[in-house]
Amino acid sequence: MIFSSYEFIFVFIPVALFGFFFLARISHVYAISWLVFCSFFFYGWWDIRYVPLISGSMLFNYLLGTILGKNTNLNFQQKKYLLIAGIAANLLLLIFFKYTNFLIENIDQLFSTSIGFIYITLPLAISFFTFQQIAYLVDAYQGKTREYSLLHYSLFVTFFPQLIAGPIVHHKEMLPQFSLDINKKIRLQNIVKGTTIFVIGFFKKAVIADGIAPYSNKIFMIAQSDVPVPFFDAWSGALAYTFQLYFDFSGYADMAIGSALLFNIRLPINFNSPYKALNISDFWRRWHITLSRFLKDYIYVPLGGNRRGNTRRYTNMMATMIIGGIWHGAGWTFLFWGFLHGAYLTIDHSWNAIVSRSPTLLAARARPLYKSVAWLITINAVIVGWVYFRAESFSSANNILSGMAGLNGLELPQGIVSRIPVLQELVMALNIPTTVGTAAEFLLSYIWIGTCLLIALLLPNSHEFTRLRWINKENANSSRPIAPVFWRINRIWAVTIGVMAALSTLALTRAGDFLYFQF
Amino acid sequence: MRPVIYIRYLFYGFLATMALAFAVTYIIDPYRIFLTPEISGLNEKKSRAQGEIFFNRMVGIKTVQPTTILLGNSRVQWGMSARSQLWPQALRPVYNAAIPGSNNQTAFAYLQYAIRTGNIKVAVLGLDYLSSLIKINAAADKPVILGNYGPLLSTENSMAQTVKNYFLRIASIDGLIDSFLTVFEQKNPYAPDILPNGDNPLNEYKGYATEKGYHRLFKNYLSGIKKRLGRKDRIFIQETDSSPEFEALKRLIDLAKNNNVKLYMFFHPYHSTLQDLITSVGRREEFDNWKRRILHIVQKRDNVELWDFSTRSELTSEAVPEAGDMTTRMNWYWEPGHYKNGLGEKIISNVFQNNLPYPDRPFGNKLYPK
Repeated sequence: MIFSSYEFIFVFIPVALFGFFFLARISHVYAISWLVFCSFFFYGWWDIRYVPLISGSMLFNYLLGTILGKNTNLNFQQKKYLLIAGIAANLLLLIFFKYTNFLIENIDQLFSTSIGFIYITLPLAISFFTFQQIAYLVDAYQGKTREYSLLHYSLFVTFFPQLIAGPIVHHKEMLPQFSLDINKKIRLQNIVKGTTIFVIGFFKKAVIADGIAPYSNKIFMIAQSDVPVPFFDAWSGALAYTFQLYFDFSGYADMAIGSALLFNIRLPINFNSPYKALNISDFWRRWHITLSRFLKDYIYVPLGGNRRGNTRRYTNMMATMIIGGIWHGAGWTFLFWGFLHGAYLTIDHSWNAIVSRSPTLLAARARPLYKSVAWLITINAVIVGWVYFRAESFSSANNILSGMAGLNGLELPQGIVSRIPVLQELVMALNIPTTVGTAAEFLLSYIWIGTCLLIALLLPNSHEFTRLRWINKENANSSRPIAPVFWRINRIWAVTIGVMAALSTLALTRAGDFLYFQF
Repeated sequence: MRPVIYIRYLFYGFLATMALAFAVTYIIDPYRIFLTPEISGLNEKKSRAQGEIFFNRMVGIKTVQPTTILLGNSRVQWGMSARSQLWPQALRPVYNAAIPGSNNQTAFAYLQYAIRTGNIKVAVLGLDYLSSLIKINAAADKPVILGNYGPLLSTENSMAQTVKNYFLRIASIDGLIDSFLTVFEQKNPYAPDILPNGDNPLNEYKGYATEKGYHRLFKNYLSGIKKRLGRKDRIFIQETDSSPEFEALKRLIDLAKNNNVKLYMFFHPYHSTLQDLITSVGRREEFDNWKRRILHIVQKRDNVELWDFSTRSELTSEAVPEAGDMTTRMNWYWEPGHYKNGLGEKIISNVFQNNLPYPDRPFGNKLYPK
């Protein structure tokens, strides 16, 4: 089941909500059991065959976590081996389902064998629940977990708002919430705020992300067929995808946060206006925050972090980002995307080291010009990365990047050229080719991009907008939005959110899956 | 404000917007599927109907209850006219059910639907070499893409599906946006349109021809076709003499025969215009094989006539205006891939009229039955 569907919005959520608060009046255990049942139903709606898989994974990790966390007779070394075995089992499951065919394909190519593909359907959310549970095992080993009941642990893993595409929640921020009695009563403030955040996310996904998607899909499809993509088309495709991905994924995160809040559960923020970032480190503190947190805490730091000199630090950073890249998908383009970001981060940290030693540069850092250039470099670096992230092959990514660099020439729609005399003269003088019948589409794509850019840069994000308390406060470094529009409980906002909900519902007829479902 | 009041107003906003969207889409009827009254200047011209052409055709067939149905892709939709005065009285009403970008599999689905819902006596199918090119490893029974309409076109009991389709069109942001655009484009002489009999008057091409001249339209189209012909697609699945297209054609002929529908098929005249290009890319033999294969298919059937308008003639060799010439108007072609209604009239005249009114005969040959 996906959030942006009639069955989720009009049937599943009302029934789950009613059942939860009704049963909570009788028993806390009943209410939590109901939520676990609903979560399994939500997961099984997609493909019931994988319910045993997630159940098995959950039971295995719960048992192992309990053994690791308890003061058993096991010595330090034995516990360490147990942890390694647990992590390996989780990773093997992930590798089998996600990377088997990728590995076979590469072995076939490298050794001219013909093992051939194996038919494997990727179980939904496997990347997310695997990471979440690896974190739990590590923390249990380090003595950071408490004794949780199996019921609460089940909800921690399967809680439907965060199950499919995150946020990747941490046991310490979730499990205590399941035990609070106060969370078993209907809290109208949370219902209001949760509904509002859910609708904002719904609007981002159904109206904006799915609205702009055709413009990026078209260009990436052309690029895949090896037809050179000219300058303006290449930029419109890359920018359209940049915003499609942001509004799709942050829309999903908002819907997750909003629907969890209806049950009085707070999820961590996952997006903090990432396209406002002024450097790439800042970007990763704002984009898919819970993944960055996982990569930092469970890969970068255990690898040694920045404790063993700069060379080791940059190597660790690169390795972490490459793992992050391949986590997103079994393909070389994903790996390269991770590598690119590793390189970006290395450059960024090196630059910071230079700036910190230069008083002039330190002073310049606060100036608007410095900030503008920094933003421009950062956003362009991110866009280049997204081209590899989206493209189906290196050749199609390089085709689009060549187009963006102007190497595939210019082409303008005749419908636009003929209406602007100056442009017409310029086009004739420079002998720029024109195309027939594409003016409206060309204009619409750039109108969409312009609108998305303004929303992403000027408006507050949904946490700022609703003044929702952040549970992952380390990421609460938001700057004041340029357009300080804030939500309040009043009639104007109620009707506005109602209109947004209706427009999003109307957009359901064309809604596609969430992009992050494939990861 | 109390949270309960907030929720109440939120619902008011939601319901009011939904009701307004439903009403606007229903009244404007941008795809001509609700058959609401058409008012000049408000919703008469359906500039967005092409976006829901599958559904538009289904409703059109059911409403017009044609005796003759025109099937094929854009060449039929743009080149043939259901409103032509040359159609014999006994074959009227005629409905143009052609769908741009479609193929024989789509034609089969729509003929099936027309037989099930109406009183079809004659079907006219345009045969197209380009849309017969398939990936050489395609499956012979590759399903045709018909959007949500596949089940509805082929199933008898489809009330739930019908309701769902109408709901998806009326409860849709695209429907709402298209409604506004429909109203906005009523006075634009170059806005696209689909007529109640399914014809496409191709207003937008009148605009392109005026704005750019025929020379550029020809040049652009040829470069697109060159790319298309440069791909590895072929008419047959590798190491066979079959393809999903030929199989669909056989099924279509059998369907017509089993339902006493007389089937007229013809090779489009545009093939003649592209002959030099087809030869230059080394596909001449394949093109001839494609025609031969179709002739072979029809030769054992008695409910079919096959005509060939793809041979070179004075009409199909019309001179293209020079670059920069924005005033000369071509009589028979919009661009090399699409002929005008005038040429379509000659096809109708040759196939369906005994007394040909045109002096420039012979145009086209009857291949089967001789």
